[in-house]
Amino acid sequence: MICALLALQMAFIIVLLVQNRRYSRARTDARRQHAEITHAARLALIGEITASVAHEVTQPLSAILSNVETADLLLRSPQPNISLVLEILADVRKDDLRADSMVRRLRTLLRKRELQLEDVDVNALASSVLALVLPDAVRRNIIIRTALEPTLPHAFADPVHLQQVLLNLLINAMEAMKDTPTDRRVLEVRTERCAEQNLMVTVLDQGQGFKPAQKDKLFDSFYTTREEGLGLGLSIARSIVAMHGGAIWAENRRDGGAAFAFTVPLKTQ
Amino acid sequence: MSTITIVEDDGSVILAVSRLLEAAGFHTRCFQSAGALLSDRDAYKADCLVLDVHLPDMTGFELQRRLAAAGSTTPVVVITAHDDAMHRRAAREIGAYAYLIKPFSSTSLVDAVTRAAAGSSR
Repeated sequence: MICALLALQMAFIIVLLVQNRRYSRARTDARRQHAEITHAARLALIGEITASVAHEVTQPLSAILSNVETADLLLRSPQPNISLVLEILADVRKDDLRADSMVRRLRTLLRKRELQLEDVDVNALASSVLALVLPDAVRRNIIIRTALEPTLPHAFADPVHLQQVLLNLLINAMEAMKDTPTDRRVLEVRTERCAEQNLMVTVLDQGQGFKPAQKDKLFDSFYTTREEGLGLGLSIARSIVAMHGGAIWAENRRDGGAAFAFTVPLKTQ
Repeated sequence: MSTITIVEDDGSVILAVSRLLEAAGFHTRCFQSAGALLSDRDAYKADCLVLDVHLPDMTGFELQRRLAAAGSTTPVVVITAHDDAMHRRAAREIGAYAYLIKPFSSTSLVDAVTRAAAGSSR
């Protein structure tokens, strides 16, 4: 009798262990799938700014080539102007670093990774994402303004996923202003501490805003107001923010345009 | 000495192109926007105009159309970091001497500017 009970107990434990293992595998698969989908959406976002980024990398490369060939010309002259050559070399170095910084920013975003929370300076992160969209903003005649709280505490977040959320909001904001008169095209990014445990990032545009009926659908999958959009960007942004324990929402601005904001938790002391 | 006017919004590129042309024996004048050139009283006094396509206030093509409408016959060399069929067609339409895609070699720019300046009627 005791043996039978023990055997039954053993069998029960084995079933529990197998189930637990299945759940664990399912959780890992779900995490991996989320990372895959998020990465695919990130690649699509980067695709939207590739032409502008390529343009921004070509400019320093062009300056480097002209500078190097000028230095070559100068050094072959009977009395080379060495101080000018040194000036040229300094500019070559500066332009090389300029091209490299754009490539590094892109490379960071292109990496595939699951959510890894770490200490993040959100102001520095916002500046980096803004540098990526700046060439596109210039092409679209959009002025970028920032109001980044100087004493903003660090967040506990995944920097790559957070960049993706912000990049998504910035691209949407620029797209929203395509019919706005050029003298009113202003894109603003604000960071501030929000309550005790969070910080808030807000992206404000001067577009047409959205209709009240659209408000609840904005973050739904496959909902888009753009002709070429898939409607996945904001739903993925929402899932990223939710995985951080934050919230994302949108409001129409009183003087026209929309404001999209999200919160992320602060790094605990 | 021929005078070459360069209109290019990128500070690094305009400085590098200016140095190159100066080293090749030209005198250069630099402007970082179309508006800056148009408001210059010597805007039309050049033997060749090196024009970037993407300027902050208007395209290089539009700038050339305005200059031509005001009577300028200065030959133009177009430079661009963004090459496409529309730009190439626009460069042909404004009668550009050359259409150079960044990064371009010093030889291609100096040759184009030399040819353009030699054909200039000011």
